[in-house]
Amino acid sequence: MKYTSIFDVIGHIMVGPSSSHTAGACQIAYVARLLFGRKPKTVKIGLHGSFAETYKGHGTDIAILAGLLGFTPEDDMIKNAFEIAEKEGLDYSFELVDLGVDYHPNSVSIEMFDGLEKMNVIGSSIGGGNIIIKEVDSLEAGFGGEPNTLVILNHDKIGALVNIANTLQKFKLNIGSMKISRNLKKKISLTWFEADTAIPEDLIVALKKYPEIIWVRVINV
Amino acid sequence: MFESISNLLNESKTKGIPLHELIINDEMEFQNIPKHIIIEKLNKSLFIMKQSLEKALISDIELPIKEASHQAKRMLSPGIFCGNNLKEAVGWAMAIGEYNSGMGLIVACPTAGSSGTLPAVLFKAKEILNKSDDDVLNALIVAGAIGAIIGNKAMLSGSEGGCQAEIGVASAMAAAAITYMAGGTHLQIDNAIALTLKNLLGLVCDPVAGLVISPCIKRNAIGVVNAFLAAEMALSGVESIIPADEVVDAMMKVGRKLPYELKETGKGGIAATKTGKRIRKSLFSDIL
Repeated sequence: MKYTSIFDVIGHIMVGPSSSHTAGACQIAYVARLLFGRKPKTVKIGLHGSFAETYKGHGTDIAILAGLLGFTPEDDMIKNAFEIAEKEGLDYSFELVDLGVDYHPNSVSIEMFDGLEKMNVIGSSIGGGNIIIKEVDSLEAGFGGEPNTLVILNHDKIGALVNIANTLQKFKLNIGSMKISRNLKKKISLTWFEADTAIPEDLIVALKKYPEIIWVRVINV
Repeated sequence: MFESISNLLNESKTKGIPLHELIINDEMEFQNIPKHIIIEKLNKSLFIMKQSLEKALISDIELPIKEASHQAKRMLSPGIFCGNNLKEAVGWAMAIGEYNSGMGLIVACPTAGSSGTLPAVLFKAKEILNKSDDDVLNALIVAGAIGAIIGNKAMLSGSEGGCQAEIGVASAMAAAAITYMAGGTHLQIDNAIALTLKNLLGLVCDPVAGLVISPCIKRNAIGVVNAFLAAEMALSGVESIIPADEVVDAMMKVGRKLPYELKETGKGGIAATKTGKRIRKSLFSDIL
């Protein structure tokens, strides 16, 4: 069953005009910023497919910028994103890109830079405001904007996953799903978990203590 | 969620539990949320619906398609053919539609493009029937369940099933809600849904330039009239020969058969007219 709750149909509060081209676009950018984990100074936004064709009339560009500024799809401030970016000194640029046929027509590539570090995130808006993050720094991803998603980038070493699993058990976190994607050349993996309950702050602190872990992010939308 | 409309209506009838209570119980059990949170979320949706209407009526919204701007307020004058209530409700739905197209904050019900229909019908029915806020809340619950059931049996997006799956469903949700609000029987609610969906069966999704503006905003108007008409017919005892569930099945099949050009691609229907193409060209010629 696709719609299990009445709130799937009468509970999505969002800035218009389009759940896929506005709300979903904002959500991808919001999650991208959560993954970056800090305020970007420069962002390069590549619009693909239908996003490239009709971004103007749907406010897709405004919505993406708003998400990168930390606004969620139900924030009435979205429409002021250009002015706020100006005020906060966020340097942004848009370009039309062709990511290829493997990507959903409503996709965007977002490169964030804070002066020291860079991250590139590709996400797709798949309808009704729902999204999927497809790539994080060239590592294949596949998580959406579901609440209680834990995303970890770690060195691809023996025992890395055991340490993560043990920590999750220690904090009694029940996991609904888990996936790993690896870059064998760089010897890093991206691991993501969808938990049944909220992810406690202490758990993140505990995970960060392991040397093989590069970063830990919580997506709580 | 309930498997079918008849499933929901029959369970309420045989158990003697009012529809809104049955739906809340289901939500509590299967979503694992306490009742007060459900009520809080419903109130939030209602608040945003009210706010979108209030703000829409005092805003001066310029849309990317200029010709489509400032149309709703023209409907806020006394009715010539429609009667003041119906005309005003249509004006409200169009106002929320314009507000949505101008990046206003709305409740997608079921989608953003069809977000004007349900609030306009609910608020006008409340006024006509002199009902309380709680009655509106209960009607909204019924609308939500009907929308979710139709979504599971068919679809809730123009890209999958055409406008029948957006305005059509919004209109059916609204018709069910106000038939319930007016004290209609289970059979009358089923009839109201069937009549609404039948009237908009096969409606295509053909947005000019691919934007949620034209015909979307004004399709909310037919969503309102159709909902009031179906509820009026059902409450007067007019029956649909085909039960609501079977109409939904038909809608699903029609939606699947609709060609790609008529499913939100902006490539068929009024989007492919001379004027539609001219507007598209004027909007996107200077892209980046």
